[in-house]
Amino acid sequence: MLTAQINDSVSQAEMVGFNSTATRDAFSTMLGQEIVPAEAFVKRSATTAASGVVSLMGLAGKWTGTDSLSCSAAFACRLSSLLLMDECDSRDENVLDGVAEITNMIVGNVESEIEQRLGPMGLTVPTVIFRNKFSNSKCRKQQVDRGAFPVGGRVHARAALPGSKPRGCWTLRTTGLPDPSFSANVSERD
Amino acid sequence: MLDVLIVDDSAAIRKILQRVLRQADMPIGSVFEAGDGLEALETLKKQKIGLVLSDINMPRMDGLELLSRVKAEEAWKNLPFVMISTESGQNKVLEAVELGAVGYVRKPFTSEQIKEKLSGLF
Repeated sequence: MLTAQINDSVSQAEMVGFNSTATRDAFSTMLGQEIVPAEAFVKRSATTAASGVVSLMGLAGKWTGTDSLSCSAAFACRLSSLLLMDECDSRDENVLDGVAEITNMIVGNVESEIEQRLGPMGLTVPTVIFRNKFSNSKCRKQQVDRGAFPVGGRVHARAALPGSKPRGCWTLRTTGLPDPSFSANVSERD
Repeated sequence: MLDVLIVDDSAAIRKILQRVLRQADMPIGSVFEAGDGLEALETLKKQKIGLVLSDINMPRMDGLELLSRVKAEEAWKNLPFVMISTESGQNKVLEAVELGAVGYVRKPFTSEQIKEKLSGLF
């Protein structure tokens, strides 16, 4: 039986901290790469067309929404190479599987932290998409139409592998949080 | 020599665990893989498995359901079962232990953490 007191709020700073810690932990332990989270900031504008790899995981419970992590195809390849200790081709299925597993580790640990405040939550398995060009705006509209994502707040956790080639960033977004103040962005420091 | 079954929907994790087991100084025989709980049950019926390492969050049949099915079978009830999952919440860990898991490793993990958890089982 859970003995921890359920508190139905998580502050923006705590949410950023959960994301930063989970991302840093996954990169350090599984990829052997130390990353430094940068200052968090709010981003409310719609995302424009982008290319690369997006990995999505659904969360359901007191909060309902989606965590998505995105990066370039080349950076996804680099991450999977580090994870598997093997050279990966950017079109290789192993790359998508590697990205899915890193997403699972980060989002799974964020979910565990949130669960302590909000009570039990369900987590879907990751869905990974690779495309040359796509837009998130259509997805956002569908989410609003369904009514499941009332605000569309976002949390970004962005990280870079220092000195790695190709350079890139790793973005984590959380949509569907109940309070727009949770919108935040953590990006790498130059 | 103990045959091991790795159950995880991620081929990446199965590959990493295979490598960890191969590098461990332990009497490990064959290492089998399954992508979910249903596949794992099929493998358990066909092979004489001595240890199961399983994820929780998987499609079709998750790790907790698999553990429950394994412990309900007379032939498998003493089979050592170790959970390896991102789901590190207290309730998930307690549920796994109550169902009969002998160990719980949180993802992300180091190879040392896996070896340490398994060392007591050999």
